[in-house]
Amino acid sequence: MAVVLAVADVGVIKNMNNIKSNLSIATCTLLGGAAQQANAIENSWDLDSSLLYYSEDDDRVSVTKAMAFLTGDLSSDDTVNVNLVLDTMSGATPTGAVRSKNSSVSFSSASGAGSSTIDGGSVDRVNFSDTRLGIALNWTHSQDRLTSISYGGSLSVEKDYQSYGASINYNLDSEDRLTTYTAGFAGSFDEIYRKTDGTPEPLSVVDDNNMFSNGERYSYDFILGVSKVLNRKTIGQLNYTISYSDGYHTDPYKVISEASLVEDTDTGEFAWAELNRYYEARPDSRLRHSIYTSMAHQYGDTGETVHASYRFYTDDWGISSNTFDLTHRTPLSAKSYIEPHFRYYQQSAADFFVHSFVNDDVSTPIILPEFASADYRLDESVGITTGIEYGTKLSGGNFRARIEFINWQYEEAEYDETKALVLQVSYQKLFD
Amino acid sequence: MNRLLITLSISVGLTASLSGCSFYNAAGEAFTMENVEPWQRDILAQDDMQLDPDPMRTFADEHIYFSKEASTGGRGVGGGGCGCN
Repeated sequence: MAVVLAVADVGVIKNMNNIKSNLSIATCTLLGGAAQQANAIENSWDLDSSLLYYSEDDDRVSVTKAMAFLTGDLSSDDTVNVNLVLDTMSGATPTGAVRSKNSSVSFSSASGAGSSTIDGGSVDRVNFSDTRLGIALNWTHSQDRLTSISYGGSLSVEKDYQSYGASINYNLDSEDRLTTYTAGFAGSFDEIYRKTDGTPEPLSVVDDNNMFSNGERYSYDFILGVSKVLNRKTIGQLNYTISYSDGYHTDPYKVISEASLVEDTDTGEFAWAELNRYYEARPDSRLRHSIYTSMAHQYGDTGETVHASYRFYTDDWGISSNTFDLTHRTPLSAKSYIEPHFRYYQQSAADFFVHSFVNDDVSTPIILPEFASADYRLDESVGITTGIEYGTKLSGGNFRARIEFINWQYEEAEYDETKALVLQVSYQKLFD
Repeated sequence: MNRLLITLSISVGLTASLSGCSFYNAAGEAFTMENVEPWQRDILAQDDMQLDPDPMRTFADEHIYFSKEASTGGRGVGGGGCGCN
């Protein structure tokens, strides 16, 4: 490959009008390119490992994530990635039910994994614990100087969820190698069930305990992308993705309260009184579109680097979102840097999102819609992330550590805020 | 209204950059489209100038946001799902 690159560069140089003035630069470049390539082959393997801790306020979800990503060259034309992820999750998560002080519901645990109560009222969140193992393999083969194909496979297993996926991506460089076109396809099969097996009948009364078989879902993703070198210090990217999924999309643990607002005669304040509780129901298909654009740009004498991205997302559930992401890396020395991070996310609510089924006339049964969910993640929301990362080169590797704070605000959901802390330390070992 | 302003800003930015308009960055350097020869790609080859400079961090972030938000994807296709809470 080094020879091919060198020959290509010589070809470009031959076409230059002012050969003499550029000869010294070109010679340095050829030597540098060959050395870099040779170095890449010698340094053909690296192991990136990381430990991440995610914790939400109010004794909600906490996750410890251990990751190991191994990347290596099998030959000058073949690169493989092996990614291993182990998540340990525990804590409490909102069920979708209202925080009621006067519940007539005798609640059976929604997850089969325990439950908790708030203020002595109904169960509006459940405790859970789970472990997830994820494995992903990727093999990239260079067909020739300008084209490569990547083949991927993935597996993810939890106590109540399994996912199997495969993907193929085709990359084509332009002749000047300033533009890369990408086309990709991925398919996955997910099996969803409760820890006690099966899935609840959608919109059935929780206490009736009507169970169906496990849920299955097939998903298909297509992507078209282009990345382009805009100038010597800037590269940009634009992707369009369309995804279609068919099958079980409902969360088998989430519920919706039938409730009425009741005035406390002592305090004069209104509080929810839960009358009944139903399992949620979501459509059995989903069509998603997203446009993603990103840019990396370096400036200044010290080489400050900015990464900025924007994504527009929309789907046929009525959800659309805007996501901005910005990082700014400032070198502290030749070996270390500091990098603040800011992310802004805003989404609209799903068409079928409800806070609850409000029923002020207990004697009249409510009319249930075709689909409904009180899952806060389907509500209108804004999420803001702020964080900072420090990185430094160590002997034979790279060390990074970061801390981030995430705050999500929800418009109507019973739990209208989630605050999370993220801590991550990573070390990438380069093998000579 | 908020979404409209955001979309407009992005559109103007993309259109201007693709049409070769000049901007000035924080260091006062002009930002213009230009052809880059192979021997001028030293900066572009740096680790922090890759479009995804830290795939492990990206992977972790995407898992967090996938678990807490209704939107997903954009960067690529493939990878495993999860029944996240």
